[in-house]
Amino acid sequence: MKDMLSLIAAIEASPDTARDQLKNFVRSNSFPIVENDTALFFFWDNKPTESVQLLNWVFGLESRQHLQRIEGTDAFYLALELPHSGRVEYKLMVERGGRRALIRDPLNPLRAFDPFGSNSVCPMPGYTHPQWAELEPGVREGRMETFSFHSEIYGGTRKVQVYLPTEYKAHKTYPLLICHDGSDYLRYAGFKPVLDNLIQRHEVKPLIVAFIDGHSRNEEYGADPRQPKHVVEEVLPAMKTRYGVSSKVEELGVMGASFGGVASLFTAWTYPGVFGRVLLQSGSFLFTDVGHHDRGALWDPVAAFVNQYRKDPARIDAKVYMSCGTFEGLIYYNRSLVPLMRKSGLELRFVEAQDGHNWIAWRDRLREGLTYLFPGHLWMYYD
Amino acid sequence: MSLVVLGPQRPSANVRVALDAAGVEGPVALITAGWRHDEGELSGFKAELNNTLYHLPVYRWFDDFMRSSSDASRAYKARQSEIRRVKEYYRVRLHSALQAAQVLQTRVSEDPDLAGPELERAIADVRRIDAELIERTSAIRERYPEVAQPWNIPAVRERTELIREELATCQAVCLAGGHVAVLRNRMLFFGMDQVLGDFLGEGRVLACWSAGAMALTERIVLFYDDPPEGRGEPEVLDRGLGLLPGMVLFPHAMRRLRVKDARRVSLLARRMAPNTCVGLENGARLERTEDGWVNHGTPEAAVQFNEDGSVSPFGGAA
Repeated sequence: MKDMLSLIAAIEASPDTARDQLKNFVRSNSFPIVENDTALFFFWDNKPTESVQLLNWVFGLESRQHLQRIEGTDAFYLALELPHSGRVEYKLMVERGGRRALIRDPLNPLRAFDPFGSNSVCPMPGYTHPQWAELEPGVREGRMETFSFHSEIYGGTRKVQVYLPTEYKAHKTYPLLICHDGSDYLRYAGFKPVLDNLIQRHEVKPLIVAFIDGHSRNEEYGADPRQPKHVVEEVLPAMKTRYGVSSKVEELGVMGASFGGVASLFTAWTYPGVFGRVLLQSGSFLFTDVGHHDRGALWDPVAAFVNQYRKDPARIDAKVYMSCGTFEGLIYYNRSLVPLMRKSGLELRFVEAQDGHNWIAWRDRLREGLTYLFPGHLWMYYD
Repeated sequence: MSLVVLGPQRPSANVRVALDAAGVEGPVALITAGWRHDEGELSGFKAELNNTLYHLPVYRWFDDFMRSSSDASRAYKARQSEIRRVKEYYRVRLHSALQAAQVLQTRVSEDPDLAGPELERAIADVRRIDAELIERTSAIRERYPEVAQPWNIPAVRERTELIREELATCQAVCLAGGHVAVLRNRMLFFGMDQVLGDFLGEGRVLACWSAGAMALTERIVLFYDDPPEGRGEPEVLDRGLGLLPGMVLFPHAMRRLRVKDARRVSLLARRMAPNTCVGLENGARLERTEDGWVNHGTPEAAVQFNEDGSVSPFGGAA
């Protein structure tokens, strides 16, 4: 911030040199400028600009905040105090000639991708990029296979992408984890190298992961009774027929994020005793204490299910890992379920991350979740 | 040359280089019990070594024996269960003692005259707790006569003799890594400390790496400074086969230990003294000679942890 104030003062003192000063400022900094727990967002591209707003998805912050113009220039800035370990995804709304454009920060090369495109990323000083998220040297990679089958429940063909650990042998059995939004987990959360690394490190048992996708995703995952039936009566048997899948409840898991979290919890609740491991990330666990929610019809079955679940949480007997970002509005619902789950006797780990509702946040919690639910013998193995 | 300690064999193996350097052209015996159910998966060895290979399926032999002898199996399970419980109590004591030592480490620079000796005492406490674990596990083993000296059981003795016969035809033994406790337990069960000791005594070559090398030391230490679950406190597993005295081995140390944390390094080195703590990475190749250890491998792949907290290359250069 000190540099910013110096820049402003220098431009004020010598407005004729503003352009050179701005050029120099851009050249000599990387953006956003993060000092201690303050992030300074800055925009200047040497073109006439009417206004710039920062768009973020941090619950608790205004979702749009105007950057302040440096007097006499087309440069804008905004200082935000953010949590020390936070990681914020954002875009800029730039207004020119009466038109607004939503863009990534042109001065920030850091990007995070999701099915809707990509955002700029501002990691705070306490955030650490996990080493285990990138394929480590010498790691033996597991392999991916794909098969399709006809779904009686949904009608039509469904595809399953299967991760097999490098040591997979057809005559042996392995734990199985069924992952909702599988393609997105593979693409945006880099799930495969995470599995390769954690299995090689013996932090996680060698396990099979079935990556499944919805066709009408929001409808199917939003507490649609067809989804648990599909998972338990179609996907699970299809996996058992084709692969060496353990029959032990504690070695069968289901997972998902957001609505995928709802689908996972709903599956475990609808078919108690099938899945002994449940991994929930930023579950969209909307409920109502009184009256009706205002989120639209898509959420009706979700709220109905979570309300039911709250009345009978003991129906699930599983070990559960649950995480949610403190920058998400969903944190309220997730936090609210924790005491209920604990009281019901669930073996639960709940983790709050200083992050939002995004794939990198979900990737960053995979190590904790997988090692909690499927721990390997890391203390004993020295390959 | 007889004893060769290698670093982890991935991403690139150097066992063949080690055997070639030792002039091993004849048959080689393989012990892969640390791979447990996969001990018979020898395709990697076959691709790497041109020698005739004799596999000693120690893991399977142990299971076969336990299936055939219900008394021994029962006694063995009860004994292991008792040892596991003792280790739980050991961890409780160890945690407190290590915490005390770690706190005192932070005070030494500001108050060396008083905190220094207190730190010495705290480390002595940790060392005593480590030593007592080994005493306790040994005492427990004595209490189960059915499996206290399994190599004297006829069916086990037969296997041990078979191992001796196989080894008589071999120029070298390769002892691979994997699950260090399984490897240690099963090798000791068949009296392989004695067998391999004799093999080495005849001047033949024993090449070992990772858990295989750890199992040969006098004291096996389990370690992972930043585990995703639980505390990252190095702990003694048990005594090893004792064929590699004077050192405690830490394969994959760069990944598994906080080697840049001088206090942790110092505490580990002082705790294990007079043994030398040696970190081994891929590419390490140490040879034991009459004059000490010679490092034939990548120099930075074998390091030692010093009592002052520093990390330095291990062994004289070749």
